[in-house]
Amino acid sequence: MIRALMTSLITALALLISVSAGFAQNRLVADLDEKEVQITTGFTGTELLLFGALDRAAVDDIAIIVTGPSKTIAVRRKSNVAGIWLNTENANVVGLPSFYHILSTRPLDVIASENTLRINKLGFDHIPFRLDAESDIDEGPIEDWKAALVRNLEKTGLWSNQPGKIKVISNVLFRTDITIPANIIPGDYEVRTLHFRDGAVVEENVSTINVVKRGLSAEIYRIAHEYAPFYGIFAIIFAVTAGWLAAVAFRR
Amino acid sequence: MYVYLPIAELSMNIFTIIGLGGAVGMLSGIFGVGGGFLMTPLLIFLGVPAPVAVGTEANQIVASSVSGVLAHFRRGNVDVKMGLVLLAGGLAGSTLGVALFALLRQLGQIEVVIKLSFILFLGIIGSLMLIESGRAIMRSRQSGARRGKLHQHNWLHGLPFKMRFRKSKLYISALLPFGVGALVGVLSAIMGVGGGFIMVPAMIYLLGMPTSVVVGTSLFQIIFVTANVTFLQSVQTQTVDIMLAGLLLLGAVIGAQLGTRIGSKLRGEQLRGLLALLVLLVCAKLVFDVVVTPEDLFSVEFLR
Repeated sequence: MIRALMTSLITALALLISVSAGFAQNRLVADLDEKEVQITTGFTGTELLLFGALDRAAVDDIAIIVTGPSKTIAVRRKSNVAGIWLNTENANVVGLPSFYHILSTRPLDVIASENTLRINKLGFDHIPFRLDAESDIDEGPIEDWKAALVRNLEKTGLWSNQPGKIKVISNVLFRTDITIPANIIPGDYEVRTLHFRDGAVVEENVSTINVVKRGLSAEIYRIAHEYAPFYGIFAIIFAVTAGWLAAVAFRR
Repeated sequence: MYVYLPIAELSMNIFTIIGLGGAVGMLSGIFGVGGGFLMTPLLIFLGVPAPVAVGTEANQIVASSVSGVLAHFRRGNVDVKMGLVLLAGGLAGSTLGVALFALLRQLGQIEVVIKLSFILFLGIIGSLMLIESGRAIMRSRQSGARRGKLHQHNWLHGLPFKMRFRKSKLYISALLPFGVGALVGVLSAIMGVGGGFIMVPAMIYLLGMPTSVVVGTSLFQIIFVTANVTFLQSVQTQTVDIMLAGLLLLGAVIGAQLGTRIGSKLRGEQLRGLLALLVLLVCAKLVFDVVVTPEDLFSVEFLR
């Protein structure tokens, strides 16, 4: 309810901005309803509303790219060893965005040329695929590994490609929802909104989202990683106390 | 109602966790078994990463063993000296086990090693239990079953470092309980179990301990071995989720109380047969997991 009210209020505001900016050429405005996502104890994922306005857009396209903090991701391939499926090959891909959502009015390859997409680093194909020295993969097409990486990350909801997810209203306003899954990794997220005309990027707007862990779960995670020995001792004391209390409570 | 588990890093229904704790707790109440050997695979089936299931379960077993051992201490059913020798082996074995666990995790092989270990042990234990309960049912229908020899002498009794265990009425080589403790310690670290299901038969058949002190002594040393595993896993692999352990424990405490009451009213042999079938079912599911061609040969994992 409040969200719907907010949305309409913001839309009205955006409309006002776009009208007042009407004299300037190609004016793109975009913003998010929330700039911070909190992973709390009851967190099951959320949706962020991104809205904006742009000047004259009858044939124009919009693409939004959301990228998360860089990580190293191990891709493993199983093969059958004596009847059992074992991980036998391993590729550690470095500097990979842990989150990569593409939202657009039409598929990226329809919106712009391959060259434009490459220069602006847009789309799964233009994410660098660099392996570290520990990687151990057999001869064979590297494309299989890239495809497997994309497929598996899409399954987790951390990567996604959603053409047609952006709704354009009367050629001026646009809005979309960014789906944040429960397994999101904390850090700074970059939201790039791009305005395409005739296959070229004419404008770009960048904003950021902060994903932070809050509450009890966040504290437990932090202590477990930063003060591991203390956490271990605490876990033991906790278990001994709980076990003793249970025995006392039910002593007959 | 969902709760975000900080170490497993996933959202899970709070009632599913408590329910699972309750169900396994009830089984342990009915049969007097630890339950770790069922809890760890069931957590894996629910989507908890196998290493986190193992680390967390070790922590939970500390609690259930503490509450179990108190009653045995009151009845004087703990052979502390034997427990300490077993424990010395257990600490060595579990320390080695956690190091092995960390290495296998780095190599990307820990999931399959955990599953294969469970397949092996659940398969053996389930089959033995099924055969044993089948025989017991047969025996109860016939009468006048013969009794075998209590104690047999073999090469194991010729080992050095003999030690006297008064409470167990034994004079045996300390290497024997040390070895048993070490073996179970390794399993405890890799499988997240207390190891009672191996320790108890080993104490009776291998060491020749009187059955009255077996369970209490086993629980006594399990507390310290699983505490050691909890600490080392916390430091080396960060796989102990106290949120998950706490919720499981909550269910297990209630379940165990119900189980003890139910257990005293039911026929033993048929129940043991049922538990054996359940163990074999879990084993079969694990076999299926590692043998059937995966939907996707590739998998991904975030490293750092």
